[in-house]
Amino acid sequence: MNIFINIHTNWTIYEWILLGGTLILIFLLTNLATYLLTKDWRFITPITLTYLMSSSIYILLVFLIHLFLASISSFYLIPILAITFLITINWTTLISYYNKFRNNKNFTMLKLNKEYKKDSIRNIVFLTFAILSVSIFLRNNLLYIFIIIYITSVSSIFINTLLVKRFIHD
Amino acid sequence: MRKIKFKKLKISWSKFFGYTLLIAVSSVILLIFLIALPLTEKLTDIVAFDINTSDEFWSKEYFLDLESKDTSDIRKTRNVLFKRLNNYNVEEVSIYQETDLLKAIVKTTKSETYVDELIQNPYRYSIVTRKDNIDFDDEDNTLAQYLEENYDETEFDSQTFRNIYITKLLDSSGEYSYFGLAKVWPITKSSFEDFLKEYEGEYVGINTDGFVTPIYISDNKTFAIPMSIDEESVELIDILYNSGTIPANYEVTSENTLEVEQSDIDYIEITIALFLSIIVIYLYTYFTHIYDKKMILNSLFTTLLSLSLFLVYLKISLYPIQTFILVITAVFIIILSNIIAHNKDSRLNILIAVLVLGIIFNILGIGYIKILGRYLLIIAPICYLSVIGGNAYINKVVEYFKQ
Repeated sequence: MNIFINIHTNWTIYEWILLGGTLILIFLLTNLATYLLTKDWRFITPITLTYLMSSSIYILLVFLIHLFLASISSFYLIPILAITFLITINWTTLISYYNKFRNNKNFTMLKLNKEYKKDSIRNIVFLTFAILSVSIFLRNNLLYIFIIIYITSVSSIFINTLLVKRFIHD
Repeated sequence: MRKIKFKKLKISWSKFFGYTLLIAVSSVILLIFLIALPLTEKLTDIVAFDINTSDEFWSKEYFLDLESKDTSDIRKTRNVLFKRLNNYNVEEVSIYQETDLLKAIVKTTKSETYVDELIQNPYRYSIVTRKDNIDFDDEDNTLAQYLEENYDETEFDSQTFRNIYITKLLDSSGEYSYFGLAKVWPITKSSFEDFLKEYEGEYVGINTDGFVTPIYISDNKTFAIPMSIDEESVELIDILYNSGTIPANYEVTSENTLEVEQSDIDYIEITIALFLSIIVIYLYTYFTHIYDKKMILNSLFTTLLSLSLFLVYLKISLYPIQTFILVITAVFIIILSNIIAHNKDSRLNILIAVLVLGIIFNILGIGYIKILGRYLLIIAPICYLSVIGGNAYINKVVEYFKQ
């Protein structure tokens, strides 16, 4: 718990407002863009839950690293940007695909799910190789940051495909 | 003698120009790859280019003793100090209360002198007027115009102004210099204009932490504060003026240098690893048949081109970058190029999404997030243009080879 108390006492209100504002703004804009491109409320749930789950996984990993490996500094904020970036661009492919093909005769939600799953797996493969190749040269905090980015974004992307399957179907 | 007749040569000008253009583009691409590779700056001394890695971190702790012990003043001081350091792109900042003192810890690659300036000076300012009984033209006392005690306080201070807008203006010698134009809040506008009218054609002063800068009021609409010529110090003054007002005075009672574990990542090793990893990724996709051959070729080329363009940008602009930020950005480039390349229908939306993320993180971000946000704004168009341009180039090359 020490880590959370430290963050609470050491952070200025200005930091809280900026970081909170950034995340809330991105969350709202993603939901807005999702609705505008799909005109379907069902798409809001998976992305909302994905963001929430990714933040939970991130907090858990930071806590575990603080507990067993290293002390946490503001360096550990980097994964917030990286995870948001990876989840958002992966999600953009889904809503853009839906926006483009939803009026096609052969379009089904099953096809959308399959296509999204395929794309997500490809992205996970690319992310795995890219992170693995550079991780060989990294140590300590930088390595832990890459581990956090990798585990959180890969699991979030994977969970997101399951959520899409669960919430968006014909 | 027999005459030799040559067949009339027919030139297809469109094909000719097509070939010429293709050769020119190929040369440029080759040049981009060459510049991007590590150590190629040693091949020529005609142009200076190299990655300007700034990995020399330093860290310090400062103890600040505030005149006021009011919780609200302490909170405001912490906020303003953090805002100043964040606006100066200081990577790691922590400001908190320890016993009766405020403790600020910084870890950064930025100039130590400027960071010291940002922390050590409260930069509380007010407008002052000259006392009648002081001779400011006395040649034996040239410092008179800079001393706080020679001036009377006015009702105008930092609360009067919305912000200080810094711009270049013609000075009295006819050369362009930096000036800070004071923008007043609507509520104080009329009283401040009356003040300027009253002192038009005279000298007043701006008292900053006890040091007065004399200011000549040339007209009753403008209050222009003269600034330094040096661009980096002007940036610093801009931050000090426009990042909020410290509510109460303070002084730095002590400061200690802290030990920093320096990163030992070698950018040459990392660059080679990145280029190799891209090739390995595409070999994997080739053998696992994730994409067809043409797609793999296009995607491999555009990813390498994106990464090279980014490295060329860094090398030519000599923009300082920390090696680990370079690594993170390179991973972003690999992923982004691949996603843009393989999702034709989403290209523009992905570009917009990354730009929006970049803008938000750059404006609202703190520390490293702010720095990485700026790089998102650079890599988004680079990846997009590399994919569009790279695909067109590959298609043209394939077309010409088939002829």
